[in-house]
Amino acid sequence: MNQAKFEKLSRTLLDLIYRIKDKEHLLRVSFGLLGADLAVLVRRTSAEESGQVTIHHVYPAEYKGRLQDSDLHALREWYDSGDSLRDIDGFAKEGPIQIAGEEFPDALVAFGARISDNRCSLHEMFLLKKRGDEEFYRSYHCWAAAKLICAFESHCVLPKLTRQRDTLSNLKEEYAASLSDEVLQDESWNDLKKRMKDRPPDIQWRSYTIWTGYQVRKKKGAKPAEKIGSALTDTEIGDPPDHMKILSDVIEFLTKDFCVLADSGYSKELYKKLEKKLGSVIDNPRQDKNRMWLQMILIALEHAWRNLRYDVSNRRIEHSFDSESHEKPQSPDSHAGNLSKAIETARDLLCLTRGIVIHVLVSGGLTKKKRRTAKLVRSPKTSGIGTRKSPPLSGPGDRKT
Amino acid sequence: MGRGSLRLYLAQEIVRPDSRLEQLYLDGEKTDEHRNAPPELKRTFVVNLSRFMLSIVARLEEHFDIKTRATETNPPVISLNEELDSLLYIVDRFVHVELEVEEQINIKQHLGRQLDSEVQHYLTRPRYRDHLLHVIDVFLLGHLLLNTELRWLEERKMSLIKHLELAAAKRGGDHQPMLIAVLTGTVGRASKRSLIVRFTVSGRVPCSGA
Repeated sequence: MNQAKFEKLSRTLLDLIYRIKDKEHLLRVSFGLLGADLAVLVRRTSAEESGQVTIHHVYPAEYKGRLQDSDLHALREWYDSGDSLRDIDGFAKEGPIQIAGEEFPDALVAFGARISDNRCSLHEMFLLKKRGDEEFYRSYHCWAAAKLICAFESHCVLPKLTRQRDTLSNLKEEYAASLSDEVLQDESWNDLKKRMKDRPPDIQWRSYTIWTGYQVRKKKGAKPAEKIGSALTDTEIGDPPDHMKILSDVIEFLTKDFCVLADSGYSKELYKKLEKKLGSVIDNPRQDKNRMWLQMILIALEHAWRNLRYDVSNRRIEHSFDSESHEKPQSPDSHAGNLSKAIETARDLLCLTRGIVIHVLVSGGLTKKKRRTAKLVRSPKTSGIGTRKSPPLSGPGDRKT
Repeated sequence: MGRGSLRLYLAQEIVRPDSRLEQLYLDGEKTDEHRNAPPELKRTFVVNLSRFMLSIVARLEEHFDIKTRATETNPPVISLNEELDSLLYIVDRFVHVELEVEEQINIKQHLGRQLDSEVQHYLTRPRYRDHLLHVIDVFLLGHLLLNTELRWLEERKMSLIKHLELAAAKRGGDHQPMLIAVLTGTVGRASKRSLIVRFTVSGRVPCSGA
């Protein structure tokens, strides 16, 4: 291509850029402008993993059903070098490539705009030519293709992403403002309920739970959970008949003045019911009702462990750092008769806490991003609790995809 | 696997049903061992267990998005100092009672010596990683690896060590060493500090180091 041809291409390109309407149009324009026989648009599905991509669109349509996963791998393997693609428009391939059962002597890949704080581009476009005897793709073809992708992204993709991000951001801000910042420790239950009246049920519930957390810290033996129970019928959380029995058990446990000293303690029967409930709760903690249940149970557990610690050590020790002092409680005699009950309570609480912990561990640990292997690795000592339905790991010689 | 998950792992390993810790401190019914433990020892254990479990509950509350704001009138579920103190105690008991390390080696005292200079860094900078907690993490990671059972090669469910032996045998060498690097980094990036476990796969009991 000489200077005149290049300028003509540039002018045409600039005229076309502002007319890109969608992904089909992008590929059709690129197809015609850069003389391709096949155009493929690939989109990243993970902002973190460079290898997580999917075929977004194909032109001409006749190739749509013919492209396989192995073709996607072949399309990308010749240039994919991880994180060294910053500020590069694309590459022209040297040598033929086999795609959809056909050989293309010439090909190029062009990259769209990089995702912020990431080296990876959101889109990659592949143009393949069957006629290798004509002029081969060069860097300016890559440049032209990259500009087309950027035009497509700025007109068709980014506005949508920006809208989504703004909506999500607004939701988060509203959520945070209505919950963490506005749940006042000294606010009465009635005032809180009145203020939360028009909020969505999920927000109401979380506010009530956090308010409960404040109350159980403020006053030992407080009974705010009764309010939580009545709130179930006040809000539209729903399904009280089925869940209320378990909830009432939790409330009963939570509202014990001194769970260590209580005659009934923390019964095995209750533990079994809660453990059974936990199986369904933790499998999907993001589901509204399950999350509410889990929040309730965690508040109950926290309250119970705090009471146990308080009663056994016989004094507030939050800010103590000298553990040796705990070995000499102020009034050993007053606790002598209660130690066995304290131990019994500790055993019961351990069962329930371990049940939650094991469920969380086998469902991916505390990281937000679930990892496949995390589901598979498990100590044999935990095999008695919960179930595992994960597929087996591949062998060590298998290729990583 | 991050630090939080390793703490959860310790929480489910500590005082398992029928474990020695349970027999000794929590009146386990399998043996009469608990009758030998003085009440004050049991009480100390229950106090520290409660504190440790409160730190676990706090992690779970954070994970499930219900952690309340700490203020002067609403102190955190457990203070950072208390959390660390109980962690050292629990690790100490776990090592001595469950793993049967001699009591002469005062684990808590050894770990505690690092405390003064490092505790503030650990508790104020979430990604800070140096000796004390890192040593505990490596210990827990090693314990997890040596006790992990999974379904992997030939679809057989067995310990990771057995799988490694099988893998080495398949490669044709009875004494072929295999090196495993367990990265303790987070957010998709490898940590500068890693646990490297070298198993000599020869049918003998493997050794691990960090």
